Amino acid sequence: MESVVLNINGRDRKIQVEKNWTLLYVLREVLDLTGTKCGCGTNDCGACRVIIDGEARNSCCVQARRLEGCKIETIEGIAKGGKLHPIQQAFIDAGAVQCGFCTPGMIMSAKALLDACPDPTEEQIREALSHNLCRCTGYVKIVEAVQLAAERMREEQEGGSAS
Amino acid sequence: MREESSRVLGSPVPVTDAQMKVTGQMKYVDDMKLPGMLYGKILFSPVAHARIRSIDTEEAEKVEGVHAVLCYRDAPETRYNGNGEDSDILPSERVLDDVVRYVGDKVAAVAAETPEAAERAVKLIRVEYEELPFYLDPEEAAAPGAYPIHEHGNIMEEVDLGAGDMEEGFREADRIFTRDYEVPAVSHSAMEPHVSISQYTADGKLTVYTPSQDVFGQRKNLAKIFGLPMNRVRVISPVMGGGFGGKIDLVTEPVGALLSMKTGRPVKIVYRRKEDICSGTTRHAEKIRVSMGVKEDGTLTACDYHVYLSAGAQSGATMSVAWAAGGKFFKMLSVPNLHYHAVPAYTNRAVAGAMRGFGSPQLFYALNSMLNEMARTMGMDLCDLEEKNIFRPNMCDRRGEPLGNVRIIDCIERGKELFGWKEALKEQTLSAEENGRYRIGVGMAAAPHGSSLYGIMPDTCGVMLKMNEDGSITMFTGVSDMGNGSNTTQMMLASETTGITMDRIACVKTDTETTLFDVGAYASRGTYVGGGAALKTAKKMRKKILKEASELLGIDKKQIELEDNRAYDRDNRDHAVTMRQIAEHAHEKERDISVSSMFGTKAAPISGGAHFVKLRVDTQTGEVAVLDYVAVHDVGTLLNPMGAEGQVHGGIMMGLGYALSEGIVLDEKGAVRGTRLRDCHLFRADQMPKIRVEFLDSREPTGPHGAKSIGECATVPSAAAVSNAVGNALGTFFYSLPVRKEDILCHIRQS
Ligand code: FES
Repeated sequence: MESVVLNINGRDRKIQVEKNWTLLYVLREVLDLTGTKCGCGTNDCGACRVIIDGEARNSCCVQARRLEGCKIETIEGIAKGGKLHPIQQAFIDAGAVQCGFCTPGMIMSAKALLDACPDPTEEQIREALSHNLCRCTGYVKIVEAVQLAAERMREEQEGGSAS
Repeated sequence: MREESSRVLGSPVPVTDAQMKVTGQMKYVDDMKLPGMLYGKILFSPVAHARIRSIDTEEAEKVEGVHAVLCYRDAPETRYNGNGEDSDILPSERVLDDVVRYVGDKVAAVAAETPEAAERAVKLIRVEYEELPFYLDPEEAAAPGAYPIHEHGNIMEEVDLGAGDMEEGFREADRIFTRDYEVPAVSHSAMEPHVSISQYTADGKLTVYTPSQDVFGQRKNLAKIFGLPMNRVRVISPVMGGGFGGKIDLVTEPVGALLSMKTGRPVKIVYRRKEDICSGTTRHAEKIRVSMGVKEDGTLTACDYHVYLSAGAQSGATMSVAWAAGGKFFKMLSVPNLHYHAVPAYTNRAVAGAMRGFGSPQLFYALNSMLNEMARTMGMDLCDLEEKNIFRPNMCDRRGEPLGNVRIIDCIERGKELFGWKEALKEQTLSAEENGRYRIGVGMAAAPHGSSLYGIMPDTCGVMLKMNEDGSITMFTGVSDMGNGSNTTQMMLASETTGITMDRIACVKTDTETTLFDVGAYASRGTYVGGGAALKTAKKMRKKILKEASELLGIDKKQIELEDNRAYDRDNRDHAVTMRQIAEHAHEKERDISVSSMFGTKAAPISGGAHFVKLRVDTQTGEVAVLDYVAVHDVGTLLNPMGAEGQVHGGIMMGLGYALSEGIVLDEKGAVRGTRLRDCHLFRADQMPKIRVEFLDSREPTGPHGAKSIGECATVPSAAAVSNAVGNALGTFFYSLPVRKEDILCHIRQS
């Protein structure tokens, strides 16, 4: 066991980890942050996607002990002040959620994209989501949700900077 | 939709638990922990067929934290069929057996305090196998003299159905086409792997939390296996991370229950993805021979269909799939002479079971492929050929079964228009003439699907509605929502009927202890039967509400409208009472506004759809890019457009995979080749085409507000449309799925 401080959703968490513990394991089994899902454990499905220093990554394939000093965002951390993040809201409004198992990972992929690129093309959206598998939706409404979120976030930005 | 409006039918309504899902707060079974919970791990067979000569568990038991190591010696003798619908048919399976029947079959199980300890112990179990002959191919397994995989032999029960006179039909034909087709087993690949938590307690009660499409079927089976009365077995499905048929049969539950009984602790078993792929159920691999007789003008005179179904190692849903596909065989082609013959045979492969379409994706792949070949060979337009030979609305099939308002013809007509069929065909011809690196191919296919289990078994569903003191209501339903929105649809019907808005309806679901019986998520019955049950119960509640409102308002019931949590005089909207007042009034009068009803269907109306696809084949790499996809479906009245579209989109994603990339490949010893999720080759967001979906303006008189099914029909025609398009692009025909780029390259090299 070694000691590591992980910054998760803006809070420092000091924890003991084994060498081979993945971030996914730490989130789910140690910190009870079960919003991040395990769909494969082999870097294939993106259900465990989180954002590490602005980049969407599969937490099943990252060792927790290497993340000291990194900013980690999970699905639990993106709603602010009791209000859903615009991407979460757009996923609901666009009908992008069916069984929901892929949803947290999808939303984290979308957030990393929109944080870096507020006005993506459909191709960029599909590329950003191509690391996430969804067996329910055919991705159609997920892509629409990301477009809707992007639009709303830009409007919010413009509204915010105008005032 | 106005959020506060109870007039919801026809509006796009997201699944009602979406908030929980987008925030990560939804607790799927693997997100749950019970106090004192142990972790179960299973030792899976490395061989395809063997008798266990000896098992030594001593070393495994010594591992720190291990509470139990179990094998066939510890398991009940009872044999069961893990499929709820077929639970009385050919019970072949034991919780743990002394014979293993496929690579991935369960041999022994461990419960320990940590998953790591359980895994360490599993590796220390020593097993000696006496290997037996094995069969991966159903035709070989069914051959006379084959070594029996089960005592009762390898052929389960042959299904033979017919109408008309085959000899006469073929005599009338100007041409006869006969072809062999082959389709692989497919992994459901729900994003949530198989998982369960079982807890057996001192009061002799077994509680199982599992994402299940059939909690009542699972309860029936678990009660039978462990000799418990049903009130001592509680199966709860809190939420499902996708089902697609794969979560109907028992998978991890019996082993988990046995471990819990032996340890007195709750036990969680979660399959790793590899285990899910190798030891979960699959769609049936099949070998199909079709013969069709046709006149020069395109009129079909006969269709003869022979299929070997690979059942895998246990009986499961195979008999039902063989029967259901047999039924569907008669539901589209109006050919007078028809014959269906199915040979379901055990094989030494993972258990095949229900998967979206229940035998129909295979059936309509073969039929539509042959129609495509026939049209091209005879120089006919495929749409014309299909239209010439399929049923018009309100006819009976050739065995006398009513088809209801079946409108596949209209789906084809509308699809042609929307897709630009004629122009696309021209593009295909042009591309063939140019003979360049890229070839355009277009394809189409049509298919029917039922809306309930009626005709196969009594199809029943119970729903309870309870009004709370503030006029909000709680719905109790056994209908399993896989994420497809069945519960949402039920709530919409309740809302529209009672005038209570969606935000004031809660849902308690799929808990055998608190909800009434439901048959389970089979047969695309969510809307038609689950919705029908919700509507029937809501109508009862409406009556009770009207009685209270009439007393309160002092007017006749017929004068009263229910809307937006109020009851009002339709001639004077201000003369009104709230649902809260109604609830309070009922209580004052010592009445309760709670109702329940059991609903049973008297029909299984046929839905239908036609899919059109345009794609581009790269003749140098074999790569296929799908460019355009149109799907037109008849679902009766569209209750929730958002949900229905989502079903079709997902069905197309599965169909594309079935056609071009998915399929379980075994090595010569029967082990799955490629056990990672990436090896399943599911379509990803950047591979998906533009999809356009439309629904006919239609109505099914027997359905709730005119609705019928969509879930399975969404995928049934897809694979044929796509694989035909690839064949058409290259001027060839493919006779097996998937058509991978290697197959395309191989074909190009050969020609
Ligand atoms: S919504 Fe079910 S996997 Fe995406």
